[in-house]
Amino acid sequence: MDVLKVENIVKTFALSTAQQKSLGTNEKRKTAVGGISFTAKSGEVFGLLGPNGAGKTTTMRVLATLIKPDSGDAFFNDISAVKNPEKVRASLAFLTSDLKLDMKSTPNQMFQFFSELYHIPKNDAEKRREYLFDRFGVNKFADTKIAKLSQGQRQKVSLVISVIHDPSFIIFDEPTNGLDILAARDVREFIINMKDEGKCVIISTHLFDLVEKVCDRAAMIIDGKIVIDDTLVNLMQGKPLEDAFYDYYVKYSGKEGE
Amino acid sequence: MNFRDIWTVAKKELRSCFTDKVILMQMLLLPFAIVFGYGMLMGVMADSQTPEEGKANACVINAPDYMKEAFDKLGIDPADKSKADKLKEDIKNKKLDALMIFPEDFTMTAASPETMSDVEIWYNSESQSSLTMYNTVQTLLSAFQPKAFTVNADTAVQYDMGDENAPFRRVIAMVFPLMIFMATIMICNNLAAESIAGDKERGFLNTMLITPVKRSSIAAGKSLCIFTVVIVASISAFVGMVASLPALIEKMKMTDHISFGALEYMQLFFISLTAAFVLASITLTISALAKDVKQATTIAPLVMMVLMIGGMLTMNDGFSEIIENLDTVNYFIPAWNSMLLMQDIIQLKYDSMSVIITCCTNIVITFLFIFIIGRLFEHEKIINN
Repeated sequence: MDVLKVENIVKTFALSTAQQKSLGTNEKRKTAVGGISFTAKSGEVFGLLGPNGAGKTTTMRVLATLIKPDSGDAFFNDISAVKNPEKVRASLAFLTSDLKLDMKSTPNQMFQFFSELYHIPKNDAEKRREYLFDRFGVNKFADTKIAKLSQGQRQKVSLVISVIHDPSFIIFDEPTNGLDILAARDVREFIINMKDEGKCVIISTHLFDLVEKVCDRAAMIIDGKIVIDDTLVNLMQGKPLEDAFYDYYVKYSGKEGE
Repeated sequence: MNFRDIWTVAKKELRSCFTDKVILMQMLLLPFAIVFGYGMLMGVMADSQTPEEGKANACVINAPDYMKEAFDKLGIDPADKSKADKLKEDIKNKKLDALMIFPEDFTMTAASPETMSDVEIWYNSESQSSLTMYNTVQTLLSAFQPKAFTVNADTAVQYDMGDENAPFRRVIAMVFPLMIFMATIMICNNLAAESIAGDKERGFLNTMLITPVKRSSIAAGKSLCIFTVVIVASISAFVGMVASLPALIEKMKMTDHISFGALEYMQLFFISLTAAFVLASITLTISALAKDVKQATTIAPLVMMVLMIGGMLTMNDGFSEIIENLDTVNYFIPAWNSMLLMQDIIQLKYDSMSVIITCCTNIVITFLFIFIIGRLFEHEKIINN
């Protein structure tokens, strides 16, 4: 059983003078994440749901070890993301629309490059390449430069590269953002397949239908804090997720929606 | 740092550099073209300023018989007095360099200053060749003047204690290092900017950062690629210098006294190479700090400007004195040390210790910058924009 334990993560950012002006504040630091804790397990999809600016992306970037928290930690099977980021990265996949592949390379070249970076033995890498390229239908454009591929084809290559090392943890930040309906469907299928393969999948999104379709459990983030964390059935309480979320939002933020 | 990871990153970067025909051509030909081109250009300029022997463009009227042979040797043609006005017009229009008019009753034995014969020399100060001709005929005429004593009469003795080739060396000493540095910066500025700031801007750097590879290894791999490019560019620039120097010396007509041996060439190469490493590591650091390619490519040329101004100031006597006072300290200042030492070597006034200090300083500074770049990659604010 693979377990991700997130313990009281806090992350603040320094605000420049221009940022202070645009936010209308005199404070020199902004708290993006104010003490988030949750647990996710293998064989399930855990969703972080929240409005824009709630702290979802910062949380995901901390989990992916791209940034370090001010305090708190995330443990991937008891391995600390703060103390052993390289070891954690060896067992996780992180995908977001901000992460891109090298446009001058072909999918084959990218696969070889990342398989070497993940220290996958040559024979194993070749078997993995055959399996993933076949499964995601990458073979027909495997030697075409990524710059020349369609958005959907690029997304498929990105998915292949992200799981090149057969990770135990899959972290997706806004996985369907900016994708057309076909590419978004591929991503949804990918998430469900990963769950079926026994991976621990964590996604962040503000799209209710995505959460309803793929998540087993979800947490709602408002102003950098988790206000509720439960199974999807319990969260929805017989209502559509959107309505349930709105009720929680009003209850915990005291605002009538923005 | 893991050398396997460094090599993996470097290999990918090198592939994109060496498979891109435009980059490859720039790397191989641009440094050569810049250095060789400037060398040739200087040669042409020197050539145009050197008067061609036996083809003086001047005339003389009423020259006394005992001077005719001397004028003839200089290629100065005799002319008729009636053409004096037309010849003066030619000088004004820069068609003729000089005209000498001796009086009808020219004599060198005057009784008093009032009765002295006056030789008119007409010339045009706007024309360099006319000025040169003016000086030549003045020297010639003074040789015929009666003398009470002689000065430096023994032509076999070299009374000028200075190196007669020094002005030549000073000019090429200033230009060649600058051209080599310019070529290196031009090549590695864009590549370094694309390699780090470009990957940052395009989102590919973050994709690499989520692999288990240490960030310092990614930085070192990218640096290794740029240093490889710099080696190729330095060889190209060096070949350009070696190819143009002999031709330049020939054009300057100083072949007898200029001799750069294999040692000088070897030292010039290693100094330019280690200096190129320093410049490349500076551009890489700028690229790591920059938000995007545009910012990276804008900042790096400023480094070149500082070097260029410094290099040109060495021609100024006041600045030269300051540099001389700094003595050995000069060779501990990265990039500047190489500029100065290359100038010293071309002027054949260097010592081995300066070469050792310069090369060691450059190598140490390069490693220091690689370490700094590695640290910058750990800095989330810098690497995540």
